[in-house]
Amino acid sequence: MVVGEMILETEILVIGGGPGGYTAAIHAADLGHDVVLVESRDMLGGVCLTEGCIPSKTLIHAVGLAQNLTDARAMGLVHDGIRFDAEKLRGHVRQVVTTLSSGVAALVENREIERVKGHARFQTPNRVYVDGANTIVNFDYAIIAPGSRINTLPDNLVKAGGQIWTSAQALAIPQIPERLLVIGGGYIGLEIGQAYAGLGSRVTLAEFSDALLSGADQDLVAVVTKQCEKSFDAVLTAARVDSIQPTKDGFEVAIEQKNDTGSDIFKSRFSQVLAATGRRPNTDDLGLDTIGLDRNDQGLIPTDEQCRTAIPHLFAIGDAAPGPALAHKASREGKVAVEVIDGQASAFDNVTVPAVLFTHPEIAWAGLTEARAEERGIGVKMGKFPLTALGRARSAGKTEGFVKVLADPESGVILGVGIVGEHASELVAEATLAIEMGATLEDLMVTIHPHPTFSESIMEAAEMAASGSVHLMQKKE
Amino acid sequence: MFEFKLPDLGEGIHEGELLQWHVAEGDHVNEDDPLCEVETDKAAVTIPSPRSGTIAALKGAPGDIVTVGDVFILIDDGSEKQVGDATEGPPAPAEEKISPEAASPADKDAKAFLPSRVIAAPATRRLAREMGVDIRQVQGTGPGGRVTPEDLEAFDGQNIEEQGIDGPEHPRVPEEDTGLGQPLETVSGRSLNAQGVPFLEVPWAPVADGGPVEREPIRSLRRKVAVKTTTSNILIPHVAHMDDIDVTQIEALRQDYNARNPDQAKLTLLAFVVKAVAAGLKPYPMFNASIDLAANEVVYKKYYNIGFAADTPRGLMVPVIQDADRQSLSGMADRIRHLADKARKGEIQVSELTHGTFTVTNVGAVGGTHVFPVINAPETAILGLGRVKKKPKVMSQKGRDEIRIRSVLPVTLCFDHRVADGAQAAAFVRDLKAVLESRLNFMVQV
Repeated sequence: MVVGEMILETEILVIGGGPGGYTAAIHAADLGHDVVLVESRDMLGGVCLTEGCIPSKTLIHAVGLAQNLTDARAMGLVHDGIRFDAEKLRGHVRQVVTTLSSGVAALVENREIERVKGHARFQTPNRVYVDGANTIVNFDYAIIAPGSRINTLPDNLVKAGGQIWTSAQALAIPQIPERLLVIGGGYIGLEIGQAYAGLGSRVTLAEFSDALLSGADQDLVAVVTKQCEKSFDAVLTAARVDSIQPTKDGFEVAIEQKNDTGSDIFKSRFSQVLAATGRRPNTDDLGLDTIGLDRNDQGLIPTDEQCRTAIPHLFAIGDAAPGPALAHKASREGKVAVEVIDGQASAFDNVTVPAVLFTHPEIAWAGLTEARAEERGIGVKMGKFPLTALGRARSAGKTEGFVKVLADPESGVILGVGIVGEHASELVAEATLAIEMGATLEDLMVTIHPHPTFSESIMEAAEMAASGSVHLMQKKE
Repeated sequence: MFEFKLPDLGEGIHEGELLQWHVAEGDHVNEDDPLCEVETDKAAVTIPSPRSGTIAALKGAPGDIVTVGDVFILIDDGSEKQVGDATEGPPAPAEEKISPEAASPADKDAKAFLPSRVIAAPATRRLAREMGVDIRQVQGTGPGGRVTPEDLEAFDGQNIEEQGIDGPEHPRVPEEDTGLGQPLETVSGRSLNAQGVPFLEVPWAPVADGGPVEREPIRSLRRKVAVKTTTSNILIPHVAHMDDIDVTQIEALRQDYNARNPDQAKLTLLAFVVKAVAAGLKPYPMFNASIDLAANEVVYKKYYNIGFAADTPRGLMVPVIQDADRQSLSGMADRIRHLADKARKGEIQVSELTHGTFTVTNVGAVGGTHVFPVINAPETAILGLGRVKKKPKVMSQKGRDEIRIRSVLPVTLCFDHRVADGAQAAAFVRDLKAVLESRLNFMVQV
């Protein structure tokens, strides 16, 4: 024992104050359990709230407003051009984050949850040492919710240092670079790339694989790719970044792009480079080896339906556990883990975790994708409804995109819904509910959707899958 | 080779009894030709052939119970080599034996995606976990096969039926507890291997017809009663305690009430008895209990659901009066009449036949003196009522014995000797008798 060491005894220890961890801590306290919450950052809310979803959506919203104002010229809005005050924008994003995070802190404080600031490592299956707080916490149950961090580019790629942006840095908006290279065509790269294009940067996107957003159906992606091709300098797929050389005022980057005959290598100068090349779980420095808790080859801790690990009183949730690394999956798992500890018959038995990409326009889907149906040979009945045929989309001037509904051909049970277009992120909630409830096409068709709204597109797509929509032309034989 | 599994028979029914084959092995069948008759609790259905081909094998004989999803017919439709053919290597798992050409696209979907997916609302899935029901086993009756909370209840009810109340068809009793040496095998209800018990010969010799006979298959409710009573008789050490109860006062009270209230539903003696039993069980928890064999524990129930035997056109049923200790006398009479009526009309719900804690059987309505009822497992006691008859009775009046004509109800308490002894049974019946013999006692104590 070290002199001055604090020892805390608790029933439930939660490691990590992100959307999974803080939800678990609060829910546990509300169910009458004694909780200690360990978080190494000053602020609660994790990556999502402090440097991910929330700041990026704040930035994307501001950029979207600018885009709308530009588009509104066609509707008769007169203005003499618009521009951003970077300083004010930065302050606004920071303020949104601070407000939300202190809100979470107030909720935690309100439950009298003991907060320990530092990095927890397991010493035994029932004890952690919190580095930075010089505190030992003994516990009956632990919920491991350490989150994930950004993959950094390999050292050999970045010669002689140089400040390459991570998504977190980009979202702090230190400057608006004149030419920005985004490495990675996943949702983070696209979201931030489009945001900076909206702020006035000239953006080049380089993606290693042949397609952008590889998890999404390519017909949804195509709508976004079309927008990117309009607003970016270049969208390079099958492109590998060979080297990044810092220069006086930026970086010189060598990019190799595969083509039909071989590959082209070209060099280009960028004022800034953003590495958006995926995330990995923060499970490597928790002392898991000490207590013999294994991780799989992706660093994830295997769990059962109750979010329980191989050691029955330890639970793992969120980005540290298998499944998509999304905040809403983490918070649901946090609740399940707590309810299981509480003795309730809870399980993470969700049929689907909806995916939402805040690109322009937005992409969202829930359940089975068309690509997966094809890959696994699942026969489906599908209906697609283009937003061009929707009154509300016309009135808003947001007609890019469509909704598609995939259903079981026999029973009509909804298997999946894919959406690209304005408000896709909101619309997908109905689709997710439909899938969880085991709703059928009929259920979506006979439910009255308010007119005129974007939500009608889901009803219309269901009608298309079943028989045909009133609002589309019939194919003549 | 097409492996035909017993298809969904609808409405939560998960098994049926094979009544007869319409085809024999080697027969050629066309698609939609009738293959067999299967009887469920609700009705007999004809199962048509899903394929054209030759019947390669029929699994099971008339009288067997077939479970939904069981492969029970093999049809050679030329789609694939014979299963188990040595040249083919190890046989594929049953799920994949249907040949790709033969299976419709829908079959493939179901296999690839739906098994991992239970069609049910999140709240229903949680309810299933709380009830301890494996929701994947439940046949959904909602749109698209959605499992509803009612489906869960019906499924749970069936399970309880199987495990005790209405016929333990697959006893889960450990070998040493049966004392029969070999596990009971009653899947078809016909073979019972009980080697190792001296002098016990099972099955007994075939019935020789010594003259003209008529044969009738043992089916449906008759079969359930057979399974249940056999199991109860073999597994429960029955002891009977008999007495006569003088119901003259109660009968007078009852007839008086009925005469004064011609518009009201009639009070019956059964209602008085059930009421007295529900109140009288409280000091004798061993007769309102079950034995949990797996846990080796007696489960004393803090609720008093009294079942009563009802003779219906389909056979014997035991409707249950929930919380009989909290019903008024007239409410009880109403409830008994209502449930008996539903049972007779075949409209009674599974939920109205389950969760009983004690049973009263009233054979006396027909005739006889004392009965020896079989305990309605997993309950631990049953009260059999004989016929009320006027009998001479020696009564003491001011120190003088005299013979009076009294209305006497013969009763028998059959109880499970594992949970109680004769003295307790005698005391329970003594107290019951005291309550039913005196109008005053009945009013004060019940």
